[in-house]
Amino acid sequence: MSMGPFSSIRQMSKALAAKEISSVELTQMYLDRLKTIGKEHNAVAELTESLAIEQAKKADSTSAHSVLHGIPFGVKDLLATKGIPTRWGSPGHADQVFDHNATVVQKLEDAGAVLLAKLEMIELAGGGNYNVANASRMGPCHSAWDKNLWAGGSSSGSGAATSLGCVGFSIGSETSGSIVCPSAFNGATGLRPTYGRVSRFGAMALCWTLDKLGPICRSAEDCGIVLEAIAGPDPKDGSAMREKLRLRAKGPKPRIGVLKEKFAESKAEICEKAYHNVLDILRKQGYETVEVAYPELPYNLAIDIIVNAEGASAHEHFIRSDRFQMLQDINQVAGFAAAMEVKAVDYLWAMRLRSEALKANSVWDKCDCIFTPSYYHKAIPVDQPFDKTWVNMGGDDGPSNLLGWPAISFPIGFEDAAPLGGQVIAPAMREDLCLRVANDFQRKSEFHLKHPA
Amino acid sequence: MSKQPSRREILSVGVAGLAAATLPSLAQAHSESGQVMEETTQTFAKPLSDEAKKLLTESLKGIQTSAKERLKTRLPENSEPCFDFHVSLREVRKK
Repeated sequence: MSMGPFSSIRQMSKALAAKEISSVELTQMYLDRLKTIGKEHNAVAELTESLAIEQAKKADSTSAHSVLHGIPFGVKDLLATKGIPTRWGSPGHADQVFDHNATVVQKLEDAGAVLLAKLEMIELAGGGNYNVANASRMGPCHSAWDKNLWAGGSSSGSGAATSLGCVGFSIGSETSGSIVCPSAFNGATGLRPTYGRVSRFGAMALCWTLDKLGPICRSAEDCGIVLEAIAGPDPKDGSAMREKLRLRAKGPKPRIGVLKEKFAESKAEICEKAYHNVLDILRKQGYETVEVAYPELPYNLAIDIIVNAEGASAHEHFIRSDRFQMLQDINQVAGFAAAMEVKAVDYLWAMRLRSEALKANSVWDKCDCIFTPSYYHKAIPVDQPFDKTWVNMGGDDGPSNLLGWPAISFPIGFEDAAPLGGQVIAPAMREDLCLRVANDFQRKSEFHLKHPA
Repeated sequence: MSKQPSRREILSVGVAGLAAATLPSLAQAHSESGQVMEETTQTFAKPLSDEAKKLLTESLKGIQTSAKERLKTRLPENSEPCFDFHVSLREVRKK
């Protein structure tokens, strides 16, 4: 049986179980696509071909104990992989090799999944305020849908490779926007879990108190499957939570909160239509909506200060080293250097504001989750500085990243043949709500089933 | 204290007057930012390129702007930052 590159995890798993296809065949199909389409889009940091074939053969010769058994995947190149280069997208880390696997990589290996490749990313996850798509060792990563557009960042390769059908699924990371953005710009479905839901051990630190790891897939259902495999406590990461992940939520439909959007000011008529279409589809399934608002606080200012301070500290050794100016984007050099000057009182103000921001949890008194566009427009051009093109994009300016809330971004329409994304944000530890709403939408729509030519 | 000319200042004193009024403070600001930049980069392995220095000046202004901007949000007295310090009985030895 031939298995298409855009198959769902469950379809692949069933075909593997029925021996209609082997893991080696699936692996070879994706490796071929990574070598051609993936590389053409600058989505690949390092192919792990020999390891993949070895893992696939092992999967074919052993019995499955997980849905992910034999399923090929890729990971953002900020996750440590034993004996394989982990370059963090940075030319200054080109020879970096770890002697251990990140917990996420190990969990996926234990589940029987097959590691195809390290996927390209914005250098050092963009912590120095990058201003060009070229802020990456392999060059600018192109959107799966249009090579003139950017794939988003910083999990650029994870978003592009998943939507291009070069992997079965991928892992990305988000400090502030880095799963949501590439998911939206590539028409993928990406889940940013609650802070602490997934161990960060072995992941490059940009910001210890904001970094999250999560799946980028082709559907909400796939995201749930991958999250179940990678979530859980980890003695190697003190921030990894012990609370059990419960994804099979039952009961009445969650009430959806809607924010006051700025479609008119942002000239986002196409996005506005797509947004209302989502709400109409959900209302037809029994969902209720209610207007909500966050308390007005400078959430993004606090995030900026925290990312600057923690990022400068996390990379201080590199910043002071003779490799620092090897960073691809000179804006990152300036940004990281300047971040060394953030004062302790400013950082502590931001961390105190974070305590104050907890009052934003009052929004959950009115609703169970929030639906909002991921961005008001399609991906921006790949070849122009962002300060010229990131205009009227909108995006979540609420407390969700600051407070570690989960969110799922999924395709909701198209603008000039490039995908638009919407996101469901939920209270901490309620990934089940994100997945339930996105799943219900995807059961009644086909945007996630459309793929680039 | 450095001071940037505002639009109101530009309109009220005109270009010539503005130049006379602001040159000393601009020079001072330039000198202050140069000093901060020197202090920031003096422990770096390599001196920054001229282009990087120019962008660093802008980035440092951004850091200063954020520091000023945050003063607009006054936090409750005695509020605490959102992190906990956990004591442990003894250091956990790494294997």
